[in-house]
Amino acid sequence: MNNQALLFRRNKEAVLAFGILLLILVLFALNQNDFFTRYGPQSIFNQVITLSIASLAQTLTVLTKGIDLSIGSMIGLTNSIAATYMEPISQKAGSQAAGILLTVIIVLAAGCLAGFINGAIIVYGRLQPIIVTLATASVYGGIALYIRPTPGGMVPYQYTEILTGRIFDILPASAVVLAVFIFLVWFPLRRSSLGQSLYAIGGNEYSAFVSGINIDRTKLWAYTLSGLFSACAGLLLTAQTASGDPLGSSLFTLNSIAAVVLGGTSLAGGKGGYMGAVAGASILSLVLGLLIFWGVPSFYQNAVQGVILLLALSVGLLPKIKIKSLQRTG
Amino acid sequence: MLRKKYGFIWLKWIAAVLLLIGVLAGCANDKTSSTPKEEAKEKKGGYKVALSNSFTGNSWRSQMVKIFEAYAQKQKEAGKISEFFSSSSGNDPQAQINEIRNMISKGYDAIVVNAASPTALAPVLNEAVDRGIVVVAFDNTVDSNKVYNVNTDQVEFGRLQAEWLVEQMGGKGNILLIKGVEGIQIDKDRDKGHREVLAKYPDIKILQEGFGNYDDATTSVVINNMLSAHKSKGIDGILTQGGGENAIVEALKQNKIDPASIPLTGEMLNGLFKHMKESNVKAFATGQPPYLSASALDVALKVLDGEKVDKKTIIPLPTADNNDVDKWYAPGQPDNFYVDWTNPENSFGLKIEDILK
Repeated sequence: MNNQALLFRRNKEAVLAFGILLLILVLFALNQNDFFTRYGPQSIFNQVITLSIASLAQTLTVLTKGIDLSIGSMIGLTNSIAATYMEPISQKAGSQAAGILLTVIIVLAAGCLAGFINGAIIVYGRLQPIIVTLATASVYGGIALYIRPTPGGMVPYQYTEILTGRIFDILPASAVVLAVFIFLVWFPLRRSSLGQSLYAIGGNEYSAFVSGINIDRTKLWAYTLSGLFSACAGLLLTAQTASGDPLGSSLFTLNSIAAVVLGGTSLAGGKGGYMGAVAGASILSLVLGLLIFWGVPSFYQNAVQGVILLLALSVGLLPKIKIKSLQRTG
Repeated sequence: MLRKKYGFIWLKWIAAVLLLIGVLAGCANDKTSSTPKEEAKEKKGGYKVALSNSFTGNSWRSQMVKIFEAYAQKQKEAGKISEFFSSSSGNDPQAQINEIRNMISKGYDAIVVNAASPTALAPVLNEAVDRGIVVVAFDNTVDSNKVYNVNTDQVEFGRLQAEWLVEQMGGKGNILLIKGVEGIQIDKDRDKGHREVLAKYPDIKILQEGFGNYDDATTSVVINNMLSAHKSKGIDGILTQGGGENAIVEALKQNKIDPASIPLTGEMLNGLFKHMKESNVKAFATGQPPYLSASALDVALKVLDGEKVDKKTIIPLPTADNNDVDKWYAPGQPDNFYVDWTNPENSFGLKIEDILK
């Protein structure tokens, strides 16, 4: 089987999401007045980037038939750490670049640790992911509040500029970040034995176990990586807001689940992938923009998001319903 | 084989669209980016303005949005504005950032903002200013020197309340002090104003103080405890930042004290004016006026017209006491209706019906 066919087969659940995204982009082209300038793509990619990365974190846990309800809190925690310590560390380190780099490393380590704790409790405590991550979400939210009791803090201007600006004045930096996560993180991960194991566990844990896959280690990895990518989302949020907010990111948890599901990944595990989640995250982030272009009152904005999610889910269910009714009549 | 063909088709489509975006973005010049500012300078009027609000779900916010819309409609009829829009993103900074990004793309000449965060919105608002859009923040203002900020002085809020009460009491007597929410800036500012004035009157004694959280439920507990502890000593005044006026009047009645006998301070809420009207309560009210949205729009229009405006505008606080009750009381409206729906001189030319519909 050649590469394109493989790529398609692995992402066929996402076709619907990409269809909707394409429609939204066409509508953006018609309605976003600066779509065809260098500002248009920058605006679009800046809107989708944070949720897109957060949904990578969610994708990994959902693939193993788990879920991570602490993603929003981990983003808030890492966002608070970055906004609180980047300036002091830069001053101590003597140079802005070194300070930024050091803070990024600390934040990523904190994310890994938070994710690892989730994974360890789930795997070794033999507890349900939904309960564990709900509990740790409160814990991480509490730590974030301890670090940064009120929204505020600051990060160097350059940091914001690097991650939300344009490269060579044309290419949106957010587009590059997204490309890195798709091509240099997701594709290699999907191909690796870890990636295969994630799918195998989600598909059928017992078969995976019988086939010699180390279930505990794979799950531990899934949650640790979820923490790491949440930290990446936290760093991007820090760049977008140039400050920290311990509780302002709680919506990322539910939005990331919605994005993953909208992208065709099954909550029952083992099916789907990140490409769909990117489309799902983009749809959720951009559809509100259309309503703003059209001057639709904001009461309808949440409702429209919900309706899109429901529609996408029901279209995904259609084949199954058909099969069921065939079985009944036949 | 069939699958392979499909795979090619949809991948090609996505690739084509992405390429198209890239190419068009790459070769497009930034004509649109520089024109709005120049146009705005030339055309004087017919501006497009937008309100980006964050939190909704209390009466202050919904009144504030309605006042903006009503005033913008007036300006539209006058030909000053060609188009207006208001949107509320909820208390989520990322959502409001996206909302503002799209307002920038839509090409509004001015964006008026009640910010979800004083810092988080600064980068995107600075970007808007860099692209020639006039940005005016109000109520929850923004830490940026590129943005115009419109607000009231909350220390003055406290000062006005305390000055009135001291005058009513003749400069001496016992008072109860009910503050707002512990730790927030507005509470600290208003409290500072209270104490500045009280410091000048050593004959006024604070019997007890507490936090009422600006709501009736919390205030009710606080005031009942205070009354049972200090009723016998004689209470000559109640100094509260506001929000719990109903609870205070009720508590006084329950403790067999005539509410008309003790002067009290509060906010510009309909409930307080109802008590002034019906129970002859002697009270003084001031407040964060919901018409700040209209004031912010005024500032935006001035800047668009090329007038020189300070980066920071302080709007005078509206005040009223029991002598003005008929001017402000809105019979038939709920207790949490803010009676200061337009400024005292009504420079916006609004009618109450405009706000209620």
